[in-house]
Amino acid sequence: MTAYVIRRLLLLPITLFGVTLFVFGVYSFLEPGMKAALYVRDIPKTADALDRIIQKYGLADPFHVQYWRWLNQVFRGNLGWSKTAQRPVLDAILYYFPATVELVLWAAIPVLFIGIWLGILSAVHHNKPIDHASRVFALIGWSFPSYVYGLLLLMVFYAMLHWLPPGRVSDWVIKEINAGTFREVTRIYTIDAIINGRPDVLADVFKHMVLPVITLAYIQWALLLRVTRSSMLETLRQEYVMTARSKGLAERIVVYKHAARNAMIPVATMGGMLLIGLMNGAVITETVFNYRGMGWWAANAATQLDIISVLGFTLFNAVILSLGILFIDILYAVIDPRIRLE
Amino acid sequence: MWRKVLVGAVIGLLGILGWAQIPNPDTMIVATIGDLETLDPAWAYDTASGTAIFNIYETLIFYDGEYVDKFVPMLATSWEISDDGLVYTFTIRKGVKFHAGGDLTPSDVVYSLQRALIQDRAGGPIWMLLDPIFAVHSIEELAEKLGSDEAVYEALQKAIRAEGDKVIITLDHAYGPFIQILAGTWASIVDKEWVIEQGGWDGTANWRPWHDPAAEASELFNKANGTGPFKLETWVPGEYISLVRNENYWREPAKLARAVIKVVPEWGTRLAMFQAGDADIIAVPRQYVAQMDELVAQGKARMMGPFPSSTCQSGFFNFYVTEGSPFMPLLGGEPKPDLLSDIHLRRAINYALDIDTYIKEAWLGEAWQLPGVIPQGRLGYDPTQPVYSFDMEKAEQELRQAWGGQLWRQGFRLTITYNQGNLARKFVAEMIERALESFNAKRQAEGFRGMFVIEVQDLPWPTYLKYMDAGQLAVFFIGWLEDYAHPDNWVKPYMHSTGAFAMNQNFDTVKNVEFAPVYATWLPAKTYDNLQALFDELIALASRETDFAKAEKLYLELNRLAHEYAINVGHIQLLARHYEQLWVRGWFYNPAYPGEYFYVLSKG
Repeated sequence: MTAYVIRRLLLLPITLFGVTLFVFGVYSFLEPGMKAALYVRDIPKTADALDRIIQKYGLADPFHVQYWRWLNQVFRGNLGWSKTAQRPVLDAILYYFPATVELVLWAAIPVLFIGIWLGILSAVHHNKPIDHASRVFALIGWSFPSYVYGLLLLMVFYAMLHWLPPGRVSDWVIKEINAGTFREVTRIYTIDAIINGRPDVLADVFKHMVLPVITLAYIQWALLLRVTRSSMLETLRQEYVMTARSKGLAERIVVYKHAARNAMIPVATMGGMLLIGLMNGAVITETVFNYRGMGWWAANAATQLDIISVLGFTLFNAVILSLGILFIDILYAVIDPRIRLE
Repeated sequence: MWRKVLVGAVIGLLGILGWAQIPNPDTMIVATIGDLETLDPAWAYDTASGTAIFNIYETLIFYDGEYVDKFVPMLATSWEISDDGLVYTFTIRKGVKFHAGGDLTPSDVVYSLQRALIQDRAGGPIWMLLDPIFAVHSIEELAEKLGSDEAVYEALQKAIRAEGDKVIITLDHAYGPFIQILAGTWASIVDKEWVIEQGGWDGTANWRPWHDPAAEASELFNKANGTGPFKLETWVPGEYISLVRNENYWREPAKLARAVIKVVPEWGTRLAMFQAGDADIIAVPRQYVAQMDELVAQGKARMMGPFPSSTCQSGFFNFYVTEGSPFMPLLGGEPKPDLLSDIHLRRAINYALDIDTYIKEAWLGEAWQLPGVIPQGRLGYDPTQPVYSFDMEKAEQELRQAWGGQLWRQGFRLTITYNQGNLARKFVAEMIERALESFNAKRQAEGFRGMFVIEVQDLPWPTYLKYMDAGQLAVFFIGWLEDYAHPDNWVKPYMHSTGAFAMNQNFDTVKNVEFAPVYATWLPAKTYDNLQALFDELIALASRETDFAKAEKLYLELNRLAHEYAINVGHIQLLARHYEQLWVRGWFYNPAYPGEYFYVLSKG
């Protein structure tokens, strides 16, 4: 397995090179005038405005010159300037990523535990009211756009009831951060609140997290529930499960000890993909709840054709995804001893 | 029964208390759509940056309340303009301190304006100062003209200089709007010593290293030290900017202790913030006005307006489409780059547009049609001047005359373009398409085979600008937001050979233009080589005219010509609305303001 892991890690730079080449290649289809237009918010007021921008940023240079210029800076640790985030790309990643990690991790907990539990419950009580209720619940999650119910939640629990506000923290926490009375150690505020010994900040973070977590979790929740249910149904029909039952084992042991472990193999693969799905889902959730994370940044940069930002987070996402997929592969081998990574 | 009454009373009391309680009573929170680009006044050219800057920095003079043509002294206590309109002398206010503690001096004023001129970033606002002071559009053009960077430096020292407590600015040519330009954020006054400490231009002839920086490379990108009523507290890009009251302000300190501008691009979230009382003022796009009006009707919000805004929407005719254009017009199936140079066709398109329906449907009635190009509230606007009203009979008459009748007999093809996603522009383009193509049935009945074909094409914004810049669009719809509140900022982009739109419209295609003045009767009747030459001369005369009454006549003349030659179609001025919480006090509308001026606002 070690050799496999090393080989996969060695392939990473090639993957990254390919990804950046692809993104830059797509960008090169834009003519210099179009690229320059991205730098002006309004109509160019003087005749030479666009020409000056083209010259200044070398937008008319050949593809390989522009790509090499960018790559050269990347090797020096400079990923460029993000016009969308108004800060260096690397700073933007370090600034936004912890926010998204925090959101995704909090969303992952209910997704994994409740999704799997409901899936098992649904399979065990196949075609009974609890199964029907779970399926309806999953169907709603699938068919209801997260954008819409995110806004509905916001209208009810924020605009009407004033309970759960949008954003990441309240203004008073921001003031404390600015004043230096609350230290940002990890920028994952739930952890920072514990490090700072501030239960009031922790409560405020949770208050802001409830609605985005529910919104983000719901679709993935429904997805995992359905996968767990079908995998569990299939496993419960296996002969070894019937054997276990005929041996007189308690139903709880049959279900949770014998059947659930094997049913978890596809779920584990799905679980890894779910984390990726949560990262993608963060785009909408972060926009609706004014939660500044990677998703918000990515969406804005892409719509504004902020190519330097797009390249930066594509590079970063490629690293995260490659490592994530590698982790899933390893997890797969651990759960199912028949699988050997070579 | 009594329990019900008691519960009702408690709920009512809680409601009243809740309503009476003003959240954050000394902090004004504005939820807006876009973030600022920079805090450097010389670099900034967007309204979001301008809003922060004009609360932190100050200019020599400033708009008097709601007026865009009356000014009050700010960092200058008084000013004089020489009779020939070339020399502006400002007496600089004493006892004014910058936020960081430095004293305002005439030397700071000279440095601020010179710094802006040498910075002159590509696509930035400094052309507005360069044009009247040096008759160039970029500092590089000046360097080329004078031959060296040192010569530019010397020219700067001569043009803007301090004498005792005065600052004297000498223009290349008299320029009526110069005072308006000096009221803009690009002419904000910075603290020379402090800027140099931050790594800014040292005030010497070696200015190149500070010329045309990227936004983030400017030393004032995320720092600010002005003399204004608010100081910069924090700017978290993409999230919010917060300002705190300047307690040492030279006027009475602001009523608000703090002002926060939050970037909330999503409308639903902004609305929720307003309803929860967490935002005092929010940006309301036109399509959501009905939702806010509902709150106004319920007594939960206040609406002010509609006001005539400083934004217009127009369709532009290109009199000669550049070769190689994918939007080349056809006449009788043959390419005809100058198709729109025929006045009958342009007038026909104007008559064929049902402009009232366009305003009602696409702008929810929140706009009005303008005669000429100058909007209401600016010199030269006259509501009695004629406009093109919807009249299909007149449209037909004009079409029959276009190109000596060839157009009616053989048909034509024309592409109307707009930027992708702009539904109002799509709507008006399709209205014109339907109206003009409706003549095909009649033409066919008369035995003519070639068709009238109008294509409506949307283009992504960068592509749109590229084609417009190359003069390759035939008819294009776009908007204009005023830079300075003066008719010059309308006739120039719309009619001058260097104007943002006119430079792509090739008015010089129309030759031998006879001009007989109607308003500016002191001008001789004359034949010009082409239409562009006529426009350019009148615009130059108007902008250099120091006599107010004469300037007005010249702008009326230009407005008349814009209508007579039908250089645009569907030129409308948009109306603006403002929505705020009931507890907001002091707001008024000034179309020249880039955003909220917190000094006049309070809560209570």
